[in-house]
Amino acid sequence: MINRKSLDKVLKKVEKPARYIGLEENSHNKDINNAKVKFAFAFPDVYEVGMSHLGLHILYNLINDQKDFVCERTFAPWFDMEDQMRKNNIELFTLESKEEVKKFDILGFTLQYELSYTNILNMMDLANIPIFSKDRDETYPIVIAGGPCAFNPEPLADFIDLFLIGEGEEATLELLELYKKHKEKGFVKKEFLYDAATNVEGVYVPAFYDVIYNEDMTISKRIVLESKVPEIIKKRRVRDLNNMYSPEKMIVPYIETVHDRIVLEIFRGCTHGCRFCEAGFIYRPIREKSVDSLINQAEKLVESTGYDTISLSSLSSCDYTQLDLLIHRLLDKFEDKKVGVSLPSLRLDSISIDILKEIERVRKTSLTFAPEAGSQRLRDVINKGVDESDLENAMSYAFKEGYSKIKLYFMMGLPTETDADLLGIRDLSYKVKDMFFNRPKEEKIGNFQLTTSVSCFVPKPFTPFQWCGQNSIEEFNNKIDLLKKTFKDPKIKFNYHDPKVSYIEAIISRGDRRTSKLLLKAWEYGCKFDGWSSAFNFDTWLKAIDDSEIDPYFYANRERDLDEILPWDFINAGPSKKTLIREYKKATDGKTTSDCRESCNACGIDNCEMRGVLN
Amino acid sequence: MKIRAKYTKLGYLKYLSHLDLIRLFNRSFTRSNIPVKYSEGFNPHPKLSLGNPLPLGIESVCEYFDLELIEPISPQEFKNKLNEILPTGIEIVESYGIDEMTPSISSTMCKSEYEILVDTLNSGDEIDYYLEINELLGLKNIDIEKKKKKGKSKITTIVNIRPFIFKLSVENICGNTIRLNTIVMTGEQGNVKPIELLEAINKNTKIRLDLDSFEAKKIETYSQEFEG
Repeated sequence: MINRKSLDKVLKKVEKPARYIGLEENSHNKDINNAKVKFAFAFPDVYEVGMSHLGLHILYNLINDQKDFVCERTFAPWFDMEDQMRKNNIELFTLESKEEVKKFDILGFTLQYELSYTNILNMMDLANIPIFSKDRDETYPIVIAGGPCAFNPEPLADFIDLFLIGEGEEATLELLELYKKHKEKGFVKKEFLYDAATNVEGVYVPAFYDVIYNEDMTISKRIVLESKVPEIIKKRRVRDLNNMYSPEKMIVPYIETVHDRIVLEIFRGCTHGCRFCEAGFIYRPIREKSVDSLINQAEKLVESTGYDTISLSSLSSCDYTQLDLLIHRLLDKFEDKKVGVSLPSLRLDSISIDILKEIERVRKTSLTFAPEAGSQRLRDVINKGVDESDLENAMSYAFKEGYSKIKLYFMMGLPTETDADLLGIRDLSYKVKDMFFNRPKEEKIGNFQLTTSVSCFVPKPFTPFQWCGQNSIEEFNNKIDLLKKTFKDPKIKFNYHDPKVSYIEAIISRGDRRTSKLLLKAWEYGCKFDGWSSAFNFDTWLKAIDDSEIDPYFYANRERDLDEILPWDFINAGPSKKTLIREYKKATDGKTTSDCRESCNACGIDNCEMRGVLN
Repeated sequence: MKIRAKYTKLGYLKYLSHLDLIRLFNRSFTRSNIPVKYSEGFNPHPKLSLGNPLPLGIESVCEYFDLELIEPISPQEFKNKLNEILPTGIEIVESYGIDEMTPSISSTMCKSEYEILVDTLNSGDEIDYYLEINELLGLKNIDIEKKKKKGKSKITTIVNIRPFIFKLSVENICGNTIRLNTIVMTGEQGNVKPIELLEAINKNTKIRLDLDSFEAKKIETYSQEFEG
């Protein structure tokens, strides 16, 4: 346990000390010394961000419900806290027992976004753990990682001992059981890793593989170094969500976090097949929870947290087949407790007046829509199956119901994009504004404000755009200039993402084992919290790129050949590579693919739960 | 019905901000099914009012809040129900009904008594702590710098805190740790934080305190009329 007196001294000097104290409602108070396997769940960002992540709440409760296991949390300390910890020799510790992370059996990082990777290295360093997997013997925790970004684990291959690919509810417990077995008979790191790699589906141990490169830097082949270790790693997926572990408790932070509410996961996967969306491919197929089990879970969560909002979470919540019924029943149940329901980003096609009306019964929130591209042509290229009449319908519903604050999300730098597509972003925004002000006087309710946000497209693994080059920073800046000039209305706020950040994200997200060098250098030069614009330092990243001798163009901007071996090809994420190639070709032809609820597009998932549904 | 509750803020929960505390209470009311009265309007919230904010990092055994209810509930039941829900460290120690005309907590409970433990950097019998503190209290002016937020900018003003110090005494000295007891004004008419008092000691006397080491606990609150 860390020195509590030093901690107390330090906490008096830092901003938001409650980030580091734990003790929240529904955090566990198990005796860590009685646990057979101690698991430290590490979120490589600051507390408020990490605590808003649903996966943390699921795995935390899942593990702590087991008698033999204990799970405690640790987050990246903010700059002031890190400074104090280093000055006062306080190692990275868990919030629950204030125990050094180094003393845990397993340290598990969740990989939610690539720009948190430098924080992973920094946290290992703060924990006094060697950063390279090869330098850690049995006296250190096994360092594992999972989450969406683990689908391309290679940039972190030198640092992480073991990756879990896919959904963690079942695999995590299997892994912990295996660890327990090995600990009981005398733990040998390599033996444990080998056992996990050969017996737990979804486990990837980078040390058991090598990669050979061509002269042009592309991959020549992957070599399996140990017998019986699988060549292809198959992602884990939970087949029956109704019988899956669902938490009835959520830790309730004392300080304000990004999402202070109950997160009710209503389904996994998505059927739309938007071609830019990694989540839409790697979480296939769609699996819904039943209304009854959701109501039951919501009731327990309201009781155990005291939160006043239930957020219906999924990749596209309006797709839930019984959404009306679910919302009705939730609102009826909790109206007297002043508990409201909120829906994250809505799709334009599926929104209905009833849903908006229902949500409004308790509390009005602003509405967010994501047309993603400004023109129909480009929306077809990315297979975003909405058109302008969808937008018009949704807006007139929204305005009629009294919503006056609207947010629109777009991307720039999408494949085949032209200036005309970009100007479509402006046209759509003005159209929304005009629709509001062209309404009869008595129907103009509220103070209209439109926020149009444009982000820079980052091509991602396991999408049909995984072969595409990203726009250069210069191209992005030109596009921003073009758009900026056209937005001249005080009622419309134009926001855009920094292309420099997206450039670094693009390098890492399609990186390979050689990208590890860049991460190491960037961290050594002081990069951390790169997802925070206040902390992101592009010049330092450029220096790191220079000194690590990687070619950023090769990773970010280069168009790949379809027959190139991609760094993540050894992972079976569900949809086949053939499917991705087919979708890529259709995209360039401007052809759309139907929602897989309407007809199966044979994407290659084995034993797909969706096959035959609604047919 | 209006209820007044006295509660503690102990252990690591001394790091909860005033706003965090309000949010904690509101959630706890929901969870313990206390018939709270909500404000009208766009974003209804419980009619809850807390006393003057306790500085972050300081423990207390005597904080107060007032809460309006839509139907009566016995103060005992109120206390028991909430204590079942509240985290260790925050505990309702007393609760009683008050009438509508009762003046607010912040306007009545404006004197706070603190117990402070702090390490001294002075060595041995170098100085007489009792004498030094007495001399400090003999001053007419004890000026400290206060940072205030004015709009977006921060401004610094000089404030004489002597009129707001009603008691300051050395209770005992154990090794290099000094135990102080003080009664000071808290609230809008005048406010002295324990750390400001320690800074004033360092500035105006020969005593050199290690400000990093201080621990403070609020042990009693008094009304305006109280003369310490």
